Amino acid sequence: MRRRITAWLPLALRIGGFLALTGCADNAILELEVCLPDEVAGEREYALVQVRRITEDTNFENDIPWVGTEDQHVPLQSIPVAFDVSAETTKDNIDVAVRVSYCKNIDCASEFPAESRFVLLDPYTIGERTKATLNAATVPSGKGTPVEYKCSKGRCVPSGTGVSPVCGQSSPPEDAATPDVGDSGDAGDQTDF
Amino acid sequence: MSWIRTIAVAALLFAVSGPSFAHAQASENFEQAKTLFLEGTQAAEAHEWEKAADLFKRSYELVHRESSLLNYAVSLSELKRYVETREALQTLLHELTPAEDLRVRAQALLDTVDRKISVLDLYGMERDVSYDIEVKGRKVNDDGTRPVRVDEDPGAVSLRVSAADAEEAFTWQGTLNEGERVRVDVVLPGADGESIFESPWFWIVTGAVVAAGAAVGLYFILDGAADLEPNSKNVVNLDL
Repeated sequence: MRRRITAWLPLALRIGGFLALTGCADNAILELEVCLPDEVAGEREYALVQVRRITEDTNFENDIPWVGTEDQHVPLQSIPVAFDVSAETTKDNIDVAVRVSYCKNIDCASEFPAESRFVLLDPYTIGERTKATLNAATVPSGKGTPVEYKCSKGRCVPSGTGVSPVCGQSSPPEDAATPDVGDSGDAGDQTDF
Repeated sequence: MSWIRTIAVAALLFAVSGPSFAHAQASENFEQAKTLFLEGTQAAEAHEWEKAADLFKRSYELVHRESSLLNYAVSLSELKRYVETREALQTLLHELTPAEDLRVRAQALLDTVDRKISVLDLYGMERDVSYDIEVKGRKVNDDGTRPVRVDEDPGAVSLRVSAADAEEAFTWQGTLNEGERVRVDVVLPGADGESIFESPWFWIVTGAVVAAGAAVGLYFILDGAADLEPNSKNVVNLDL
């Protein structure tokens, strides 16, 4: 009888190994690094980072609810810092809108005079993690023009430059990787920040 | 020796009731039975129990007298043949109509031998298989009850159990003390009724079921564990 039990062991191990290989994630995560500006007392002391799926063009004004840091507004620091947000979904082939609002007060109850906007195109692949760095360190005078990011192979970069910004730097690092997506457009597109 | 007194009382009863019985039967059997009975009584008084048992038995076979059967039972008891003693006493108590004195003595002797009879409990035998069971060369009826109970006299015992499709018979030997109960696990290689745990199919099916259950459980565990975990403590869910 021991021989029979022993004979089953390799089969059981194969089954376990097969299942281990076929086990897969059902979700995808967009890891956002948002570059925030420094604090200006009495003018901007907090930031509100919000994310949502885009369902009608890139309309930032419609009533589709945003999800984000409403429960914990991000206090700005004396120096520019990065703020991380993980946006999780189980849906593929969606675009994502991100807006960063700057507030005088912690409740951010009033209408936001300044807002940085970003559009990330197709950032999700189920079972994979995608990273994007959004430069919101430069505060626009009003509602900023949405900066479009294209995503591929786990990375989202601005469509214009193809080079990912780095928080704390006014321009991409010299050793930035060669962009593998995006048009070879004008780097000046990023100056809207 | 109280049982000698029992035999004496039985002998008296035989003699007292003799004339009416003789009158009723008027046969040679009665006279012969009475002679055997008296000879049996003499043998018992001489503690010649084998002889006494034989004489009382022959007397009883000629004429079914309660006294003959009781004396036969007493003789068997002295020979430590308790199982036969019990059979004789049960016949006396349930199939005959002994006088009160004989009935009381018979019941007392029955209670005594009941405590002295040893028991073999035979485990491992299937209900739907017919076995040939022999204890000390004597066949034991298998009525399908499991475990099989075999009442036996104390002393050396040999057991043999076989089945039609068994490759070989199971044998066991041992010594039983008075009133002892012994468990014997009967193992018959190759019998149709072999234990389910001996069947390779049992283990194959059990193994398959366990493997399938483990596989399903493992799948869900791995599937859930494989989900990506957010790097940041600030998490937004876009599915909501």
